[in-house]
Amino acid sequence: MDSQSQTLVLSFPEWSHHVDVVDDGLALVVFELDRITALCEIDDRNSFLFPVRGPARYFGGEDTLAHHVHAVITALLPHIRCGVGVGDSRFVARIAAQHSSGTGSPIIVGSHETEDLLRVLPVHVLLEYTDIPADVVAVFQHLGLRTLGNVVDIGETALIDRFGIAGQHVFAIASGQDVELFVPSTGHVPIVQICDFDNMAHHALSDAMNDSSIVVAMAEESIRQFTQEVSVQGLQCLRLRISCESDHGEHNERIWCDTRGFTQKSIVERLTWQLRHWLRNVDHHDHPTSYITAVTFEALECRDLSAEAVTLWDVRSDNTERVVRALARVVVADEKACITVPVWRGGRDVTTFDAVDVSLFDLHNDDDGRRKAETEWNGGVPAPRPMILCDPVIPVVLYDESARPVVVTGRHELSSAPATVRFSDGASWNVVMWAGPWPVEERWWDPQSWRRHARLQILASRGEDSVAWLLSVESRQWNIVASYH
Amino acid sequence: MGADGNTDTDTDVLARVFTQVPSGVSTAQQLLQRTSVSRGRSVVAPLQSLFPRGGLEPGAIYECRGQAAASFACAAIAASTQDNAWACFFHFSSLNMHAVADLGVALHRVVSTTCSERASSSQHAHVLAALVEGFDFVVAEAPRCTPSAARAIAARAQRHGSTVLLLGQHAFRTDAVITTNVTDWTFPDRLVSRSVRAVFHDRHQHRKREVQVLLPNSHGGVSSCAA
Repeated sequence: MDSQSQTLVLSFPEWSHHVDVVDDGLALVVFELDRITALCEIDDRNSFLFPVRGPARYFGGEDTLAHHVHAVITALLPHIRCGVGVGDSRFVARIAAQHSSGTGSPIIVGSHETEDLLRVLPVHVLLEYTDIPADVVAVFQHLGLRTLGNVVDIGETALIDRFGIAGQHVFAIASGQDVELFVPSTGHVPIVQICDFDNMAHHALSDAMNDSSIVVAMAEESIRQFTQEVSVQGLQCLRLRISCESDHGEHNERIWCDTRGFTQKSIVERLTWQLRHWLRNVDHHDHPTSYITAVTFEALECRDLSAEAVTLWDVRSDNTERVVRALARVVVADEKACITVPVWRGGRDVTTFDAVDVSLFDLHNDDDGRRKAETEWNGGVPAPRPMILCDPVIPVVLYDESARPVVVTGRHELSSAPATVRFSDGASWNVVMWAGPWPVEERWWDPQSWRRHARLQILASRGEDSVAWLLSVESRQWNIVASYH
Repeated sequence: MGADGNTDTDTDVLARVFTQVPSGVSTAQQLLQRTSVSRGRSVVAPLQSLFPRGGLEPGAIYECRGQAAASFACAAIAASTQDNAWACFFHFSSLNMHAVADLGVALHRVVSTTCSERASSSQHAHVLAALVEGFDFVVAEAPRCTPSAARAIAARAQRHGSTVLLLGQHAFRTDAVITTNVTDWTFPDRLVSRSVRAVFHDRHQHRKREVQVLLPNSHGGVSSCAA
């Protein structure tokens, strides 16, 4: 059996802890695997992956290796169900590991068995073990393509034509060609960010540089630069190698995997976990005996975020996925950016839509009626509505021709015709035309939120400029609430 | 004379055949008219005559100025959003979405994005660059970008076919400037409509186009001015 590209997956199906949560069990597993292999990946599905080639030669074959790993982990964590799977690709190895957790013994899928296995697998496994979008899988099912073999029979060209890069990825997985090696992928400029503490001014605080929180704080700027460098190239980092080095040459390295793409925050969390356990485990042969001098971030695998589907006649197809990925990159560029969609709220206020966080919505769902304006609201601002809302509102004073303040009487009439609008900074506009006032009473049944005010439209001019405003008066205070810009 | 009595020479036959075959193109303008490249993104009918190719061009950078700039920008993208194009309002949180919907913009194809208060101009540029890669339209109000970043974003927008409309101050080199001036208000007993003259100045061809529209009309949309 050719173990050149075979992968071993150790999975914990019932392990609900995320990798960024401090977990002693996870640390024990990692350090045990360090004794077996020099290169181990930790992904976001509570699984550990490493290439079989080197360890298999040491342990005398894939069978012996798989059983050894299974025995060691089972003895280490006897109360947690685990599975060990070996396959030509990560996809096959994951499926094998999942089944292994049920049978209680490792499962090894030989190279000659891979194709037969893949052909009979149902398409819904793509949802469980890959990041293929759910709508792609749904289309397969609607078309009657029940197995991966049916999908392969369609052909790579047809899949690419219909689904673009997702279709190419599906074909590679379904035909067993998605061999992902544990080496940096080609196709993009290597992205490496080194945080060298020796060159920093805080070198005098070297004794404190074996405190994980201080090291992480010092490395945050480098992490920010790393994520920006990835983003600038139109990529999303899926696999990341974090290497830490001490002044005495001790070295700690971890490969992390996140199919959602690493953000600055997620890298900080993983570095924190990695450093904490490296510094805490004094029994480990590579435990640092001096302060940490450098941390290196290397992008091993990236995904192109700028993929788009262009139809034959250069008409941009409905590619909501492209929008979703663009927003993911926005979050990478500015984690605190506010991304919202308008949601209909109604009401008599000039603001009838709420800005709701986009994460609460499925942008693929066009039938979400909450995002469409309903019919006219009784008592609301009629069409044509002002385009620009003033938030906060702008307090002004209305004066008549005799320079007396204009107020709204109890009969909902103006005390006199407004002639001038004056702002708090002294600026003054002439009122050319006005309409109203229209009384508005909201939530009269709720004493706490009851509100009573009146609206007024005015057309004001100053020199050659003219502008229309929507004013509101409440408790005798006039405010500009919106502008017809 | 041929065996079948046909007196046509070979030359006559060829001439007849070629006149029956649709001719190709002899000028670049004809080629543009035949391909979809000639057609800009769809805009509402009253604004079509304003644009050289009948609509906003993919990958172009437009600046909207004047007293009705915001309304014009929303009206310009309305028809395309109805055709499932995606639009993003960048740093435009003061928009009244109900008025935007009245102009015909499909709100289920709209996303608003605002950088955090402490975001640097570099972060602004990265966010804007990400948006032009994913959205068909990006309407930005006073984006904080350096001229070099603006050039890179413009190149990216052109590569991805994203149309950018800018309002307020910016560092971009625009392909065209659209200036809107209010010419008249209809205000009998309340504000009913506004007459706006929009002038399109193409910087590449140094030509101007004009159109007079009601923006908004009595229903909040955009329509041609009555003769």
